[in-house]
Amino acid sequence: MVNVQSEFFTFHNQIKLSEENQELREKRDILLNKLKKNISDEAASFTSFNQGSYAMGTGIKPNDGDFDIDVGLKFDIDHDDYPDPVQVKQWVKDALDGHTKSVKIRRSCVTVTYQKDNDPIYHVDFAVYAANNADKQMYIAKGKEYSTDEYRIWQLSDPQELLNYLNSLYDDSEDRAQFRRVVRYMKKWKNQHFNTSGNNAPTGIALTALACSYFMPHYSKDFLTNKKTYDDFKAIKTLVNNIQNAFTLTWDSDDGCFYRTITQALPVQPRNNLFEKMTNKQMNNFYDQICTMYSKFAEAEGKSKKLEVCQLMIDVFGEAFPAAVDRSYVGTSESA
Amino acid sequence: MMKREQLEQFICKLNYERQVSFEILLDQPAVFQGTVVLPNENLVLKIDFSNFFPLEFPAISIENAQRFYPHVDKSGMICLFDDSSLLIQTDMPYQMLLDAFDRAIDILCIDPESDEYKTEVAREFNAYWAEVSKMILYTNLSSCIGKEYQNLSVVRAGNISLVSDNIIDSECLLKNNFGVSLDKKTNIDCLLIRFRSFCIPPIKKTYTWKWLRNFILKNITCSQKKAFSAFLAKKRKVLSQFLLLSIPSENRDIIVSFYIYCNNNQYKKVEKMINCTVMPVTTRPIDYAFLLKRSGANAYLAEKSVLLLGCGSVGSYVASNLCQSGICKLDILDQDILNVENVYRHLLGFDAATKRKYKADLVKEYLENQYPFIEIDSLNFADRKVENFIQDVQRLKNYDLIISALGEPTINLEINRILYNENINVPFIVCFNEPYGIGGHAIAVNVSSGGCLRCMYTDLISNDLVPFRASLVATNQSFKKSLSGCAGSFVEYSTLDSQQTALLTVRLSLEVLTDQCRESTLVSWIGSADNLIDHEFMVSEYYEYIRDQNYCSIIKKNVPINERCPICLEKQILS
Ligand SMILES: [Zn+2]
Repeated sequence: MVNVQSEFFTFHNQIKLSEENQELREKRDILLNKLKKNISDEAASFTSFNQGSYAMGTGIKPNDGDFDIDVGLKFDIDHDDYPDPVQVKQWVKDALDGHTKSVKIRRSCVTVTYQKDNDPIYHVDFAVYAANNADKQMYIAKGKEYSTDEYRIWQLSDPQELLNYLNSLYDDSEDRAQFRRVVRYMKKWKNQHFNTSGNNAPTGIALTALACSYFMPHYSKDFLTNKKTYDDFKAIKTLVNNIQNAFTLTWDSDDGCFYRTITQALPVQPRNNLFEKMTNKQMNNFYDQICTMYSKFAEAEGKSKKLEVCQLMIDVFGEAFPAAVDRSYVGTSESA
Repeated sequence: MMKREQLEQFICKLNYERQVSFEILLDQPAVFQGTVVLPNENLVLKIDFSNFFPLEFPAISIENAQRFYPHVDKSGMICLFDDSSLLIQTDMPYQMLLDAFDRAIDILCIDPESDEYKTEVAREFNAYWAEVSKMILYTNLSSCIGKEYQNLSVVRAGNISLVSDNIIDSECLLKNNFGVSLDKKTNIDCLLIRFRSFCIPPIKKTYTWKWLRNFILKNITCSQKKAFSAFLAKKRKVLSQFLLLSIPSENRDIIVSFYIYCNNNQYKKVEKMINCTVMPVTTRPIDYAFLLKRSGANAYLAEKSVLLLGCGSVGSYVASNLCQSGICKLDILDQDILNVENVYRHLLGFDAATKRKYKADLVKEYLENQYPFIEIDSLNFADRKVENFIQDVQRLKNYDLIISALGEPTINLEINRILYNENINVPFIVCFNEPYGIGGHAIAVNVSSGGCLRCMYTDLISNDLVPFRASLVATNQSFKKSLSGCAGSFVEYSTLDSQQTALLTVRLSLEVLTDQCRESTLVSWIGSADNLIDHEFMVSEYYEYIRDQNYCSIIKKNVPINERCPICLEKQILS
């Protein structure tokens, strides 16, 4: 095995979408300004915050420039005073309607899909929360405009909880950084190998949750300095192997065959199964892709040339992974 | 110096407390004399404050010595303490006087029959004997130890007298180690007689032949007497003879030698030569074990055979230090000619460089001249190439230690590979400097446990070959400078850097050879980075780490196995 850690770092810098990403911040702020300006006087006051992968530091740049921005809106209301959560979501929709191509109330958020002249399309998901409740908890507004009452609910949900959970997993911030890198690699791999329409591909949050369950930091400690040298290759290879082993065989009576399926709960409230929307067949496809990825890693481990390893990584992660050249020598400062 | 009144007060107090009666000598303001009564004798002692008292103890001497006393020199001065090993409380002068006096009495009371006496004499006799001696005789008599009676020949050439158990050895030593010409050599008869028991002659300024004869006859066995009487009965005109008296003592015999000379008009029995001159002679053993004991070296090391690869700047100092530490068998392999450009950082000076000879040959020549009994093979067969030499696995197996001062990591790693792959259990030490005085390293591998050299050149998360992991300078910098094209390329470091690295290397070598280093060990000396930074180079993270931790000049660490090391991995799989 050769060391491709610096290539992994380069790759990571290529794909990561960080909080400092200016393009993303601009797009978000345009919409937030519009929201503030146009929201009706009846609406309660609110504050906004980043959530989702962007806030967790696991976001990647989209393949096609369709940025997926998650913004939380904390309304200063008690959910008991607003029995219909869709009413609150409506404030948001109304404020943004007409100014953009499309504003839709979806089950968990209000989604704005936006296109301006030749700029690439992007969309912003606004999650709406009731933040001033008697029990001091936060509730997310769920339900669509035409949903029946039973689907219009305030669901207990703390958007900070996943981030807190993640931070609690590893004491060392460097270990957490490796976790984030590996989640980003997984997401990049997903973008490369899945048709992202419908529920073909596992969601970003599903991959993140899988990593919460199966990731272990991988590094070697230098006896000289006691410093950790991280090994992302080993980390993702092990994660993928663990995910592979998490699949079980399930009989699908519709298709009349066995499929490899997987379940993964969100590690925080509401602890729902993040694969519930995928069909058994889709999960089986996910399994096949995981197996292919693992076989590439196994093959790479047997290689002694950097060039060959990088080529295999490109197969997995796409052209964003750098190709490297081999050298038959290293420098030395020794003399006698 | 202290005031006379003060000194008189001290003496007064001493007289009272020790029941003695010292009085000041009229002509000397700081010298007191008195008699002390000891079990078997009354001795007149002198206490002399005219030195730097109380920075030193007062000097105490015997005025009427009748026999040999340990710790007493020929002028009667008692050697009270080894001052150099004492820290004196100079604000307690009276106590100093008391201590000095008590110590003097202790010394004078050592019973001549006691073991302590014998031990002390054995320890000091040579030093006192040397004071009265007028000649020096070098001896190489380790093979004669325990012989009762033996005729030998002293070879004398160029003012050096030397005796071995055979003339050829004597001549070789004279020529090779003393560098004297044998053109005008003479042989002088020499008789070695071993006493039957411990008996030491008194130290005197003059001795008579009659006294010496009787002294010998009193202390030898009947059979020795027969032989010695035959010698005494010989008739000679001229007598020129060494007598070596080997006196059995605690650990080793004490050799007391005399030279006797007599020139008569006619033949005379040796016994009857009354006007014979008897001269005390100091013997200087040059046998290996003795030489090394004196220099603190380990005689155990004499048996060890060391291969040194490279004797450039670091290697030449390593060779020299090894020899001084007691290594006697050293093979040096180096294919370079010592040239004038780099001579300022080599053990050998300009003079040697002008000879246009191989470094290995020059270092051999130089060290064999410096240190007797050292055997250096400069491996001048074939092409002197390390790459060829290390192919001979059987030969490598014969060494007790291989040291590389090549400064060439590629070859060092190849040697490491051969040693590990071929199961050659010879410890391997690699040493080198880093540029601009930032430091140097010595690393011992292939000892009982721990990582190999490749471990230090193996990446932490892959088996990639990386620069030396404990390097003090950042990677990917080129330090080679060129004076005259590729052949003249060199790296900036000074002779002091090389000597420092050599010291670490030799200390580590001795630990390895005496089996005190059982785990692979890295020793590094850390210098200042200023010069390096001035030349716009960068230090390594490791250097920064050390500096942040706690600036310390020498770091010693065990080298663990690097799990990624291909050599250690293979070794593990095989075993
Ligand atoms: Zn190794």
